[in-house]
Amino acid sequence: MALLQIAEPGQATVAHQHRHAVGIDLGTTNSLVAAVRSGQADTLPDDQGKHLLPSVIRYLEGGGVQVGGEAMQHAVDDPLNTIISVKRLMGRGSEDLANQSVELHYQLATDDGSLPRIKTVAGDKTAIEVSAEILKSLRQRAEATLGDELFGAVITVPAYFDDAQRQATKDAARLAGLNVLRLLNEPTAAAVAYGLDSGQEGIIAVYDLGGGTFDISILRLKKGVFEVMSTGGDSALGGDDFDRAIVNWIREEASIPETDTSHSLNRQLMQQAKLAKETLTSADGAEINLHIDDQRTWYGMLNRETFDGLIAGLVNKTLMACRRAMRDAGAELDDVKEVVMVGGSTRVPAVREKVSEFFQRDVLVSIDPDKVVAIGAAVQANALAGNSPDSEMLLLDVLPLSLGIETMGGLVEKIIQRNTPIPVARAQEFTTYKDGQTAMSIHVVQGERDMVADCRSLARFELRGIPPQVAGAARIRVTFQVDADGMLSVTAREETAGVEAHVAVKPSYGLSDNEIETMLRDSMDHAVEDRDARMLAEQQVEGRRVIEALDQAMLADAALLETDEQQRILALREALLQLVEVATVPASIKQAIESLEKACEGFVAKRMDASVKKMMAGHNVKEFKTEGETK
Amino acid sequence: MSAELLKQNYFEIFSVPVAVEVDMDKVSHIYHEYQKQFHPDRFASSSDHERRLSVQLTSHVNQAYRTLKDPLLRAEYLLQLRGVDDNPETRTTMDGAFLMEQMELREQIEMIPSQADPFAQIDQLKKQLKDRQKQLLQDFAAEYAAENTPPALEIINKLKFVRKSLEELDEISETLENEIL
Repeated sequence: MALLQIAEPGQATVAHQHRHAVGIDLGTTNSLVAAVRSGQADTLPDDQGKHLLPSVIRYLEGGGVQVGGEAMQHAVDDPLNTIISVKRLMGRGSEDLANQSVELHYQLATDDGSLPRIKTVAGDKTAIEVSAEILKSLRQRAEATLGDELFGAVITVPAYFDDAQRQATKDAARLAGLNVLRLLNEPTAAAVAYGLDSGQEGIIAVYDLGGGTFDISILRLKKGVFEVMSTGGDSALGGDDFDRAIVNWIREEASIPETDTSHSLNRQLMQQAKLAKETLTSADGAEINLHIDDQRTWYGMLNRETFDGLIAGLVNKTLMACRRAMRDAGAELDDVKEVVMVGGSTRVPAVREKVSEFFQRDVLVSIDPDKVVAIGAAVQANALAGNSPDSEMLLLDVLPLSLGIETMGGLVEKIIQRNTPIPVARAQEFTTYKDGQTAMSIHVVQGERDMVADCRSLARFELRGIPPQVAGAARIRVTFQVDADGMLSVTAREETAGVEAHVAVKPSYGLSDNEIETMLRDSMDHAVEDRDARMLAEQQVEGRRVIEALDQAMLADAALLETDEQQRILALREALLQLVEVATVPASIKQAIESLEKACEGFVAKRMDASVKKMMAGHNVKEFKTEGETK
Repeated sequence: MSAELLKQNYFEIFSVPVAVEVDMDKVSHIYHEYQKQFHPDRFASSSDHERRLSVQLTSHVNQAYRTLKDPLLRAEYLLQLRGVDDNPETRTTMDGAFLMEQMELREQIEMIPSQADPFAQIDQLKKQLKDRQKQLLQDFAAEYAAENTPPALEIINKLKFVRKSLEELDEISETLENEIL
């Protein structure tokens, strides 16, 4: 598990304590948390037995917070302090929000920076803070259910999320005190839940129809690699539109004038519509009882056929998007091996039928469509925490959108193309265009279009201290590094004079590290002593883990070390072991861990080289055999 | 960092000979072996140093894989290994006939949206360009084998023209589809 050595397939790894890791589906309408328990992945209910947590946060005067159903009850009477659909705001600047297709009903604080804040009685809140409240509630639920602190979490994001949106999600998790093991694309998570990663190779379509959004993703599965080939959808189409279609039908049938928009009647209509929609997933007809006013009541019957007719146009719209996504992916209907259904609205029988008809095959519906994404995330979280050593699963992702920088004339020069497997690093050289130029501004963008204005601005930074030279003489090497979560860091260096200026970049619409730290401090629930005790315990666990890993590595490969190197490492190991037992402050253990790890760097590299050699040797033998057989 | 892998060239990483033709089956098999060993997901619970090393290794392997997979990138990389520096100042001038051909092509591409059946036109141009690409790659292989650097470089620049045109055709398809949808 450590020191860059992975057990050979089939070879037993060291038994270690089971680490609790969860999968979290942070949704626009609802959120869920799931975990693998006794080998079985399932979502975790709250103390009232509810699995779905409505993604709603209400801020109270005096600093209190209501989460989920409790908050949702006040969406109507306290709309300004009750935040819904916050996911639509993640990683977005004020300008983007003005162009949203869905209207936001809360007030944005006018602010200086580009990160918008929502005005509430408890102060101005960023989307990241609001999302963190949802995540915190799920974390507490998980810890209460699993009876232990969490090792980490896999959090799902839409496949089309750009760098800023992914960063915002990660920041929210950090604020909520979660260790993010990985951000996972929602469609990939759904496919994992169905175990498709170990199935046949081919195209997988993931049809996700939620309450207010529709996403279609076309994935290609090849040798355990999930590649998102195309995504499409409509951010303003979902089950809520089905409800509205029923409401309009009732209004017409019951001859309720359009002018009658009384609040209580509206609410009754929406409730009856929702109920009818749910009834119709299994029954052929649904009764509707309406108490219009003291003089009038109305009774009606909505049958399946009529309902199907009401939503036919909406369903067709989703199929058009599927057609488009298939073409974008360059895939034929024949290539599609599986169709995964996600989102509560795929319970509607007409939706299943039409999607099945379109893809010319049965669709996968055996896992609850509300839970399937969280379940897939839990499976991946469990594997990442090292709880399923036999698992061969490896999900390789690709960069969803190209990364580039602005060049002269507002044009984009692409540095890393979309669909490149990640992690990836790419370096590019630039030069000055004026004599004596000593600074250079670098603007990083993400998107497929040629003009900067049409792409998303991720970050701007300046490289200073370039030695003055004639134009074109300076060599500025800009390195882009994208990690396994699809997140970017950029560094720049001037090479001719050896001037180094590393700049780590934070997205334009994110929080700075300082801001996050302040928020973390502000939100610290624990007293200082509690926190110190916790940090000490954490360091003790970490220290023991490092020792255990080292012992394993020594057992296997001590021969790779020179005697003096080995002695140095063993001395540091002894020092760490002692500190783990006696230290009273976490910092001293941490320091001992760092010294030991530093001393082991050479050993790690040697072990890695040895393992590469072994891998290659194994491969060559196999190759040789195959060649021999074919000849 | 003393890891040998990071110092190897892209061909060595996959133990294939440095050549224009590459056994991609072998490369992709080894690629997946590397991912199984070194992907950051395998080190989710390891030390910072190991995680960094894993990201560095997988990035390097990904870059190598992508370069060998794409014939144009591969060709450029082959010249780079020979120490050829392809920067705009040393770039050779393109032959006139090729430039004429490209200008005609540009005109045809610009005319597409006003055609009666634009998609048929796109398909036809695409085929034409792909044939050209294939032929240019063959030419490159010959010049590379004969160690004729300037002509090899010129072919690469031609291939870039062709690639750009192919990308443009895709963009036009997308714009046209958007209008229909």
